[in-house]
Amino acid sequence: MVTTTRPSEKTTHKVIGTRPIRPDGVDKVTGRAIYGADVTLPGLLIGKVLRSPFAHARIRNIDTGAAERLPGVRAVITAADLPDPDKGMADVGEASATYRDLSHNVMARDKALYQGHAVAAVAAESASIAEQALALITVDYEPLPPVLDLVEAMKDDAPLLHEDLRTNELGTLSDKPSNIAAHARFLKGDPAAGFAEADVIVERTYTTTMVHQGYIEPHASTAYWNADGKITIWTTTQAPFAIRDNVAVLLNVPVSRVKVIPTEIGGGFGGKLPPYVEPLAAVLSRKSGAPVKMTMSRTEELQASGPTSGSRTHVKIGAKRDGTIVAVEASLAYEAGAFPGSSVRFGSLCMFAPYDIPNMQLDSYDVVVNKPKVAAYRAPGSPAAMFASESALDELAERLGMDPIELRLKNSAKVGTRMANNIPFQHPVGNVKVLEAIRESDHWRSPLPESTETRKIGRGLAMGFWPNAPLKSSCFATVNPDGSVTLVEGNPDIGGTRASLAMQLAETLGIPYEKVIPQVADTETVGYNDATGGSRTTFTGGIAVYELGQDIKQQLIERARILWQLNPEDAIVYEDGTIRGPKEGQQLSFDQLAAQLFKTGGPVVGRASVSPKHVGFAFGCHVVDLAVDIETGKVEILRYTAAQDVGKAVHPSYVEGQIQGGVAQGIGWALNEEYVYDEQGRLVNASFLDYRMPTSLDLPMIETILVEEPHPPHPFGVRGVGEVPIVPPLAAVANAISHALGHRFTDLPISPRRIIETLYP
Amino acid sequence: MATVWIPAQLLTECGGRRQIEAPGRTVGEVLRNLERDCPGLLARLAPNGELAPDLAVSVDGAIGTLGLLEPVEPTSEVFLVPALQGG
Repeated sequence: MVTTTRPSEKTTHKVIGTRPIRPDGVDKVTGRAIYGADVTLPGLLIGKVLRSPFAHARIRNIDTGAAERLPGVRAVITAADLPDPDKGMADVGEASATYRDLSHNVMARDKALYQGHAVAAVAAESASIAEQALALITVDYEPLPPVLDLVEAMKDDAPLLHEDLRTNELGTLSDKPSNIAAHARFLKGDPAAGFAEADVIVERTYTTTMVHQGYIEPHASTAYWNADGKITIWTTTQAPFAIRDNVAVLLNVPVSRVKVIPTEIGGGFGGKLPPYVEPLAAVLSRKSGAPVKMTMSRTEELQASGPTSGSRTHVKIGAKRDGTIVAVEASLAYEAGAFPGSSVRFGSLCMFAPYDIPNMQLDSYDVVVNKPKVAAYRAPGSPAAMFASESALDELAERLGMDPIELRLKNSAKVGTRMANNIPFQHPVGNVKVLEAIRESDHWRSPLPESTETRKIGRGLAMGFWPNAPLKSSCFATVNPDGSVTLVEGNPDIGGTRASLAMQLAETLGIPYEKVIPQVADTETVGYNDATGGSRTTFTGGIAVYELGQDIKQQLIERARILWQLNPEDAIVYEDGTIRGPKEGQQLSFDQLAAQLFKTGGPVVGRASVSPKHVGFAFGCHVVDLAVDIETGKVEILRYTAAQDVGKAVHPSYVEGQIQGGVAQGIGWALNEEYVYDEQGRLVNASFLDYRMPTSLDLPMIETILVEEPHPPHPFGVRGVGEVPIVPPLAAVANAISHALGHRFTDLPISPRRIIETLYP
Repeated sequence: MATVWIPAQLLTECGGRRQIEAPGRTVGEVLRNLERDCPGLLARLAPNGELAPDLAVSVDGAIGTLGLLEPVEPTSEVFLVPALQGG
């Protein structure tokens, strides 16, 4: 693998920037780590969900009598067993939801709104008994016409999913019910005046289909509702505290009655932010008096968890002949699934963020359809939006006869440039540097292989942007007598954050990385932490461990003062893991002082709770070479290079891994992945056999260039890195295919079928 | 006085003005003082006396957690934006 790091300045870090092994590595590679489905308890029951076969149907009656009478069945529930909460907003990432919608998504009430929508659940002494019980439940459905297409859903005469849903039309509720939940707008400058100055205008419509995050571990939760009213939930989640808070509201119990213990997690990418089976397992446990475990199958995951939106985006870009972009307009419509709350507004915010464009109008529409309620998916909203904007920019470069990098550099945003929401970039951003890094890369400078009669070669380039999210982190740490430090934090470790946080604490304290022992704690052990998401854990968690390191250092200084019998005004310095007094030779190592803590007042415990205000924006620029077989339509990725501004790579291997993982997902989105529904709204490819994700055989080793433009508000210059790598591949691949075939593809995925149907209509 | 950038959703309430100056030491004070220019604005943004949960306030580009209590300087720019998390 070719990996290049381009630091902007020399640093003196001893731990940050190295590549130590991960603290949780042995358990994970030996199969000892406890994931969601591994949890077991005495008397454990197995829970299963009955799901709607219809995409849209009124539920007239549910008869659970026969199921309840089946020997071995301990509890059967329907929505009647759950409270019906109010419309307050729940914390589920960008894919926002009210508590009422969240509850109705967990279990259908009057209507089933997508195939796979839960309508009843059973807890039994074995999985097979639970399955038999599901077959004994009789549901009387009145099938209704499904609404599956964005354009159709937005029509005035479309069948309605929710009779009480009215459009939030630029802040005002419409009179008539509609499937359009919201119309929002970002407005900057005077777009009409800008277009009047344009010499060249590119205008096209782009579409994407619903795709799934494809995390390897399905949802799995175990709940025990104790006789004292206390609910304990073991679950695979990105957001233990949000699950705690959401379950409390959904079950109408005080938050203090809910304890969430996060298990190890096999991927999430935003899909493990909302609750699905947690509230059901809890209610089944209350009814049965026993702990209940529920796991979702892959088919249930695809049908009924939270994929990301299908989308339709119309883009118009106006530019002068010299390449200066003078105005843009876009209209984005995203599928929200069965309940309002897609990430369309964030898509519109991101799509032109890398550029300094004086005039913009970006309209976004959030539309309900009879498909599963969407969840966040890695840079939620941005990939589909930037597929449109970066494809249109590529076409603009072609029309102008400009190099695509030069066009982007000419219009690049800088400090002070206002984004679509008119907020200016406050701190240095790395978009120019990632473009320059690609321009100077071996990949960009290398010639393409020659096309043959049946194998057409193309190169494509695209930018990506994601603002990242700081949010809140809390942690504490104890100094042990042997000089080790036990770090207790509250973010499930998806991408190596035990290591990245331990490294930042070790750097702060001036001790070896191996001396820090990180632990991920439950919701009753550590202070509040927002989700592992938003590319925030290494960023905000890093600020938290830095602050707690300062707390520990100050406490150790005071312990040394006691040992050395110094006065308050005597200067003691903590430097690089050594505490030095004012007298010659008066010094203690971290280990030496740690061994004497009990003689100087007892243990030292540091703590921190932070909510950073200045997040570091993430930019990436990708280039791809590919070959299209025009006889089969198959696309082969020949070479892929991703440059990203990472601020400061705490653990470069994990940063590279994040970039490579995001690229792999983005390529899958571009080439193969799609939810395929029949006319009745039944998902016809609800397994990994038919839902085609890329494998290691489909991809070359992805080359990475880590550009380090430090983010000043972070003590080590860190930026979040996890999300933005999924953004550029969609347009980069589409642009490369367009150059290979001389035909511009505007609909994803560009599957073999689509290529063949286009080439041979 | 602070400058409040009015989001497109609220331009009607503010007579189409994109930026309006208003005094105040906190976001809440600034928005209350904006009521003269934009009647009904505060009720839209903070229906229960607190900033709506799907909104965040940015003062000079920083996303704060204090909502209406976020401090504002006389030269500040105040933005009302959708709350953001991530995947």
